[in-house]
Amino acid sequence: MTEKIVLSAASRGFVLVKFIRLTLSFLKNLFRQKAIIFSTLVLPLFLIWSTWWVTAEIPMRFKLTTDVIISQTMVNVHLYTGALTAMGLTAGLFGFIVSVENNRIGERLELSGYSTTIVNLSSFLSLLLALTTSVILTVLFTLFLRQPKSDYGFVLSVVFVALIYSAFGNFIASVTNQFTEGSLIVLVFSFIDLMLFSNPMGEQIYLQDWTRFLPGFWPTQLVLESSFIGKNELMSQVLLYSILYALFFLVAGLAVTKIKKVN
Amino acid sequence: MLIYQKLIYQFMSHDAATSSLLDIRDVMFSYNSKKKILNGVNLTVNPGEIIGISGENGTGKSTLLKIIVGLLKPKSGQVSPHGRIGYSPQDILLFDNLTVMENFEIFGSGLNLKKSEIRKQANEIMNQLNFSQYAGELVRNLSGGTMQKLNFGVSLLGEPDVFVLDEPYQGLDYVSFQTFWEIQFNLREKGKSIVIVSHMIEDTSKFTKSYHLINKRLQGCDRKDCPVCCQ
Repeated sequence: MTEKIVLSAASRGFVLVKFIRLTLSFLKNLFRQKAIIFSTLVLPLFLIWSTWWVTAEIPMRFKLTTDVIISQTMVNVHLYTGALTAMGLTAGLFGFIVSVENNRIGERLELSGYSTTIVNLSSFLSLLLALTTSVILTVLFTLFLRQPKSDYGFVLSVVFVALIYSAFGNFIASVTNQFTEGSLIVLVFSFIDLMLFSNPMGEQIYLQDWTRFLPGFWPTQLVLESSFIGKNELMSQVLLYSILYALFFLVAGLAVTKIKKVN
Repeated sequence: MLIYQKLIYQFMSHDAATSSLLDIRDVMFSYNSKKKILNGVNLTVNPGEIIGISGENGTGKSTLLKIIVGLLKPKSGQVSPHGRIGYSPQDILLFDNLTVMENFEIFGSGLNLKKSEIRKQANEIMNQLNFSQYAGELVRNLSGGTMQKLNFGVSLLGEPDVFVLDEPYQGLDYVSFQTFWEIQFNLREKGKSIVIVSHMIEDTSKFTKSYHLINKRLQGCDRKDCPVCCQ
């Protein structure tokens, strides 16, 4: 009995060591790529700046789910929702590309004794760690352009979008390993969600019941609430939805990978 | 010399027939229900055998190897390995932005080898294959041939019982090709088995058994009367 417990603890220790080593290797492999500088740093900054630069100072009024009415200029709304869109696009695309590359090598890693779950989780964790730089830059750059009423809520909404969309990219990578197809799906979906349907700029659709199920809806509500009202009433709801969405995409990706293997 | 080698192979194969390292029975595989890629494939790999499988492009050679190593599951039939399998895939599957040694370390770590043991084995492999000067080099900066050596070298980690090698000598120069075969013969002497797949197996005398993958199944090749290629 004691032997069994010791063996089981030792095996858990081995699994943990493997997980940490693999995550660090994925991370090292990522940071040694020049393309990462463009995809995680230049791309979001360019998107935020260009969105802010092209939008006019036209006044606009919109409601939140909490029925609070906000009067703001379009450029201000666009700046914060643009930051979320930039983060969503970057996290989704980066998540997809990195996951496709890691899935390719994952087969060989599995033959070397790593489990599918360890490979997928290590790959995803390294992706999140790499995206941290991108989140920090996105936040700092947006704060440099305008100061939201609550920094805290704004920062967390960017973090939530990064989490959800990197998991979404990871999921798409398990469905298709074709770069053109996958990138297009991620680009179109994240743009439609964060820039049109969850966004008060998309007047015709904004706040329709079904849009509440979009992954970007709640983080967008949080960013608007915290930036313009300074309250974070939606925080717990957004936290819950974001974690559920990220988990859903992560588990779905793992399931698709396993199903593909069996078939 | 070759006849002598051949006799040793035959003796070893016969002697070890009862304790095979790999048994494939009646394997059928298709990527979709309409078109079968493999049908009724049988193969027994005994200790000390070097088995060559050839076939034209698209006949399912790589698919068969993926089934052997467990990356694909057969639709029917059985694959029973009786030992650990080392696999060198046709495509170079390595971390491009890690160094040669870092690649050895991460793949060795999966096999639960200690870091010191991995380094020892990696140094031996690199010395044998003559690319130890690249130990600290990033994989993306290596030539195609050196990448191929590393791709093969990684499969040697942990001393598997059966080596499954998919087009292993693509891109190797003549000296490396000779070294590659020396390693195969050394492994065979240690009782290891090797399954090599190539679209061209020119020198069949190096193999204990040769097969052609034709009409979705393996056909033994006895060289003299082989209707396919071995004349």
